[in-house]
Amino acid sequence: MLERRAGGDWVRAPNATAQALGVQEGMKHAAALARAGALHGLRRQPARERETLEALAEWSLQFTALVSLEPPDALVLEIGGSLRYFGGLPALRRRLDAGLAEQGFTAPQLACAPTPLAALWQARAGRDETVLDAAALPEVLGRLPVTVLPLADKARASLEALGLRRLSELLALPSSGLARRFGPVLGQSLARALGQAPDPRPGFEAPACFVRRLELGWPASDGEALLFLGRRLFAELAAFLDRRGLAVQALCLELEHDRDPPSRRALGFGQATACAQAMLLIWREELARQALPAPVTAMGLRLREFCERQAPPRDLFDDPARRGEPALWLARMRTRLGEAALGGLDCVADHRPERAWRRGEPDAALPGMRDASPNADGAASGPAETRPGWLLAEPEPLPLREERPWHGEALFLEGRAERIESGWWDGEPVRRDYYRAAGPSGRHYWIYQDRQSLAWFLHGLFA
Amino acid sequence: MLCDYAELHCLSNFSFLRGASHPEELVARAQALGYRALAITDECSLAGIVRAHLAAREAGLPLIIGSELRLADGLRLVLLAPDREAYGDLSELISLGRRRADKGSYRLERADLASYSGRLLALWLPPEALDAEAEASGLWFAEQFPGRAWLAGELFHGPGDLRRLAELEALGRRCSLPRVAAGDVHMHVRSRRVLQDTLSAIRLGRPLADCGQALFANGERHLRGRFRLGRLYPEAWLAETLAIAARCRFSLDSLRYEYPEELVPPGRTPGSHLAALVSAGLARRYAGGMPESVRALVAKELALIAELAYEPYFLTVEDIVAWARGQGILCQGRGSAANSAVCYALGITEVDPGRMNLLFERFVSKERAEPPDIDVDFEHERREEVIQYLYRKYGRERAALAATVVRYQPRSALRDVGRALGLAEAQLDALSRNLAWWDSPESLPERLSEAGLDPDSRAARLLLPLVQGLLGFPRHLSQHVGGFVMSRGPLVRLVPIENAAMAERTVLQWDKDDLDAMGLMKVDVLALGMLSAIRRTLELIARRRGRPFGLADIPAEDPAVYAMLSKADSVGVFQVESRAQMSMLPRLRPENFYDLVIEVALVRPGPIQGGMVHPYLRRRQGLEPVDYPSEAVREVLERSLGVPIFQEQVMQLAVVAAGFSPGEADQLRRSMAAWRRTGKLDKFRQKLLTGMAERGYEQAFAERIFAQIEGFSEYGFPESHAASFALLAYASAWLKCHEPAAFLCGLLNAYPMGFYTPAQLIQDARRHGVAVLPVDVQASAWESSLDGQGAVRLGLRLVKGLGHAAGEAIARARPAQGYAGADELQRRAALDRAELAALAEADALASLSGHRRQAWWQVGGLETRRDLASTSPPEDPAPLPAPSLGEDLTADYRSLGLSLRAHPLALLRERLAAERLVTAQALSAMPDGRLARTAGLVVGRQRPGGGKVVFVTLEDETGNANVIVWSSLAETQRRELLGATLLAVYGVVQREGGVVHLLAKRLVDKSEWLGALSVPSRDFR
Repeated sequence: MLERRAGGDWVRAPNATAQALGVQEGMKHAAALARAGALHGLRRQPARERETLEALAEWSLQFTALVSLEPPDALVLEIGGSLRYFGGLPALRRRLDAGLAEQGFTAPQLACAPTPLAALWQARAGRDETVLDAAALPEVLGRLPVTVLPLADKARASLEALGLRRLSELLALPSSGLARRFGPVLGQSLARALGQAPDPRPGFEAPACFVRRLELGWPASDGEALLFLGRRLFAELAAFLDRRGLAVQALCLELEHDRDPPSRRALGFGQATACAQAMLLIWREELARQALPAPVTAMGLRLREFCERQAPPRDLFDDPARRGEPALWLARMRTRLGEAALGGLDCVADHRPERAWRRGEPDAALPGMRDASPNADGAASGPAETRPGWLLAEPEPLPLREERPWHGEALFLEGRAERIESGWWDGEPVRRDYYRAAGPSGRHYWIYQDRQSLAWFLHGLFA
Repeated sequence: MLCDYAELHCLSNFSFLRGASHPEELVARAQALGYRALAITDECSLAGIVRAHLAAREAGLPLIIGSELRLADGLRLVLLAPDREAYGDLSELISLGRRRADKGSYRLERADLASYSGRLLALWLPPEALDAEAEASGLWFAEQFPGRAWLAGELFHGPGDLRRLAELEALGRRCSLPRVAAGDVHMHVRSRRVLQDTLSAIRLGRPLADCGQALFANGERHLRGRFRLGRLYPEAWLAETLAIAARCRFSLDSLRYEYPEELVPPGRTPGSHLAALVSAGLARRYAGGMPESVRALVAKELALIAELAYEPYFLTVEDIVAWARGQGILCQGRGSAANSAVCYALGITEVDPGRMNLLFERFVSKERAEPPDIDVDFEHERREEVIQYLYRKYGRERAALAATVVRYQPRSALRDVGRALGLAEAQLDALSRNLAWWDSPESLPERLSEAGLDPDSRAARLLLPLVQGLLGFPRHLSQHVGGFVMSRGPLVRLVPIENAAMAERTVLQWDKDDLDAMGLMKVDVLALGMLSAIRRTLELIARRRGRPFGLADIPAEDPAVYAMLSKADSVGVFQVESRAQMSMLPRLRPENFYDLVIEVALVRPGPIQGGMVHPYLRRRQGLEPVDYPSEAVREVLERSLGVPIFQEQVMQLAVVAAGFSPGEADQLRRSMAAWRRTGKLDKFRQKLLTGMAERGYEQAFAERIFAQIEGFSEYGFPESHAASFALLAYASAWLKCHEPAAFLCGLLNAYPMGFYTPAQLIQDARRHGVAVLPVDVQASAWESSLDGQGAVRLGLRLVKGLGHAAGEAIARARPAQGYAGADELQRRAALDRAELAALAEADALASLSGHRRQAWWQVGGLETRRDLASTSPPEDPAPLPAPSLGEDLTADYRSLGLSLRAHPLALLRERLAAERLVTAQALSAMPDGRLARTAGLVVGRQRPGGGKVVFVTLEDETGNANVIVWSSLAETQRRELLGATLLAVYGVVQREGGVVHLLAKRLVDKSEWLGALSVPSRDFR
């Protein structure tokens, strides 16, 4: 793993193969490469580490109400109150071990001590022992190396300069002198670890989630009842979202039925919204589009993922397309016609005509609103008017008759060639001279001659 | 019938990342196509025109100088220079635009163009949209350049070419601008399209696949055949190109460079002034009477200088050197012109013609039409003062640094091409880390696989050809290491000046080859660390002896110095301290100054690659007869026993043995510098081989000469430079031999420089009996110094984490009887806590506070703000364990990079002996062929010239052991070789002429024996 810090990349947590080649923790990336040329480094992702730690904290909440985070790599669980419930320390320990292993944490460092810091330091030092007696702490902690202390690099270097290796040596020094040289925090930490000072810590709270279940008194299959449920549910959701400044882009309703297993209905809003009315509008479309499999007894909603709200919500009502709200209109069309029926046309900046467009997501931005980036020839947009309205899916080879390309009639070239030579980098290189051509019928064609094979092709038709 | 045509709009690859052909290629192609003229019009740049000019002159193609510009408001145009004055305008305008913007860009407004529109010809490049705005621009344009403005019509088989042609015709009529055909040429042939697309992608910083319309639609922007042009453009447009070309009569040949004139006092001519300075100098040099030979030499040289009108050049160099000397800055000249009696008289060099007349035959030569060449080295820490002096004296209008054209190398080309092809950064990292595939392309598939890339993928197959194509392309202009150009009039009328990356620096758009070709005077103002060390040493000696002691006071030809060098006892000596030099010294056994000149030049890639080293040694040792294939060759090679060693000799050989004219030999010299880039040596090779065969020389001899020419290409070493370097080598060797303590101080205080760390320099000096005392706040100054007994007291500058100001303050504020305690030190020198801790960690407080841990504890408790000092309560002593010797060593190395206590290996000797690892001293006494094993701190690794061996230097308490590791072993034991701090080597003793090496068979990493000790190694390629 590579970590970016001042002065470049540093190696963290090399695996056994890398270590065998002489790569060590804390080594410069360049130095590691000199030893192991084929070294494969992964970039450290602090955000992912945080996520993992929080997920683990959430899981740990089943063992105690008080879990505190010690980023980047530790959790402290207050288990004094839980021991009886779980049947004693060994039993709790077994459950922890099993649960951690199940989640893929194969070698967790666990330690148990009367104070949070003592447990943390013991674990950091890799001492898997259980200390239950606070009076034993000075001796137990005294054996620990000073590296377990949460110190800045500079203070760490200072401890080394003083030749202090174990906490016992540190504890032997006058505490006022220590505070003067290392600041008050070191002494405070030591006091907390020894239980001489209180160590209040904020408990971990699971992140916000929205869970509601609304019951009807009876199995209902008419739309009105479901709209009624929806109205209540969305109102609560909107209030929840408003309080937190959040929005949702999609959600999934869970419908419970009398006898059948529950069914699900997904709603997409096209854009992030926190507006109950807009959600209801979509729910109405959905109900109109597809009949219910069975009468509904309850409707539930669980939401764990939200997005940031982009703009203050507005009251969208009536016909959104007329009000210039193409996004909502698109969402409704999609619900009505199905996902696959809608598509959009995207321009692609490529000189090759067959690559200059693609089917894309239907985009709420109206055609013509797109920005065309200037091309190398200084033009602001593509050569629209010289291109045919209809482009063949595949260029069609044209036979020659009397040395003239033939497509049901003889084709006469008009004007000069437009030469396109591009795409050598992606396996579909073209080298073509395009011409507008006309036949005696008066029809206009867009044809080209391949500059390599000199063969002729029909590529499009002008209206 | 083919139409006549002159191309007026053509970019070379000096329009960086736009043009895809070298200027020379464009010229050659235009010539082959029968163009009547070619304009090189790089974007706001004249950086490529000298090359184009030389190529065009050779080809007989009229070359037009111009530049394409894009004004800040988007107006695009091409300016062409019809005559010398217009060329000056163009150069000034380009300078204006460049000086106003950051390095690499420019900014020009319409007003700027208007103020330089009086003489230049101008082609307007109309925009894509020919609307009212365009017409307004056209009208404005026509007004600015009355009778000298055109509308350039450029057609590339785009959509609607015919309509555009008609529209341009109409627009031109409306704006009263005559129409002219042009080609917006970006490459000399269509097949460069692929490279041109790649350059565009690199410029845009996007993969090719994402560039889309930003690439050209086709490859029409090349030099097109006249038949096709005739079908593309109206006849009148084509005819107009010739009319414009006919008006451009300017050639770079008409540029006249003039020397600055202010160096000559009123009433004197440059010649009389130079003669006066020289005779004054001679009187100073030869107070006891001048040898007749010198008098004659001076007269001869002065006559030659006068004939070539080079007086101002010598006066200029004299002025710089005299100014530097006035400031106490040590300097020395080198180069062909520097080794002259005149330069000796002027104080530019110390090479005494009375002493070493051998060197003075090859002064400035009349036949070689090259400008005189003098490089001046200055103390590295003070060169900037000299540069600023030159800017002050001549002004930024008249003095600027030469440019260096930074070109694509395999590594940079690979990176940029790889990015353009959309390869991942990690893959590029892996590929560029190991360039072995570059030398053996057949291993490329394997390397690609290693980097996680499918060798059969399209990107992989495109990679190598594109990298090869890009190689050698100019990438940007950088500043030359020290080449200064000064002129009489404003330089900007000769060549554009632009900003360098460094603030306060300006560079010309021409590099040193361009300047040479155009005859512009250049003085190289270079930096040399050894001069700093020597100056400091001389000052210490003068202080101790109580009288001035300068470079000239060092006695010449001291046998003791040569005896020392012959033992390879040369740590710290300029130029001959490397491992390769050290192994040569005992074989060559220098006995006089000229031997040193040879020693300096011999251990270089040129002679090594040319296979000249061993023949020379054998002849010197009398193992093979010294013979010459002819009398003419004898004259050239006699001084080096028949073996060509110097660049000058190779050129002279080309003349006397292969029939080159002096001019051709000079071209050969230039080509030597550039052949890898241009591959241009081939024609010389043929000429040389046939020329030598015709004159009856053996082919083997001729091939050897040619191999040496190739070897010289990158590291050509002329005798004239070797002589000046040898002088400093001698001076530093003398100082090491007779004033080792002062010399150690000088080296330590000039660090970083040279091959060795302070620790190694100190070890070496102590082995020579120099007493070295530790850093101590009670005795040390900022720099290392000599105490009353002649011992070296290490300076505070060695202490890691202590700033210059704090170090000076400690020495300045120290009372005569010393500081009473740490608190007094803190108060008087106003030190902060970090500085005090740095001193404690260096054990520099030992005399005040006991061992370094106590000292650290004590200074940690000091209040560093004065007003609070008295209020802090007294402290209890802290029970801190005294450090062990090993801990002290580790701490010493961490803070100072060295320790005077004991060598770390002395502590390990018992353990080492148990494994039968012998000392360096014991090793040096072993006979040839003996199996032996030793261990030591790795203090140096060197792979000379990227060759097959790695030299490893191991240090223990008795000295250094020299280990040779062949590349096969280096590859299999890479980890030990590069990773070990303490290395054990099992191998075979090689003894040759007093030089002992251990040829490694197996390496063992023993670093863990050292614990936390870290020892810096100096690694060189």
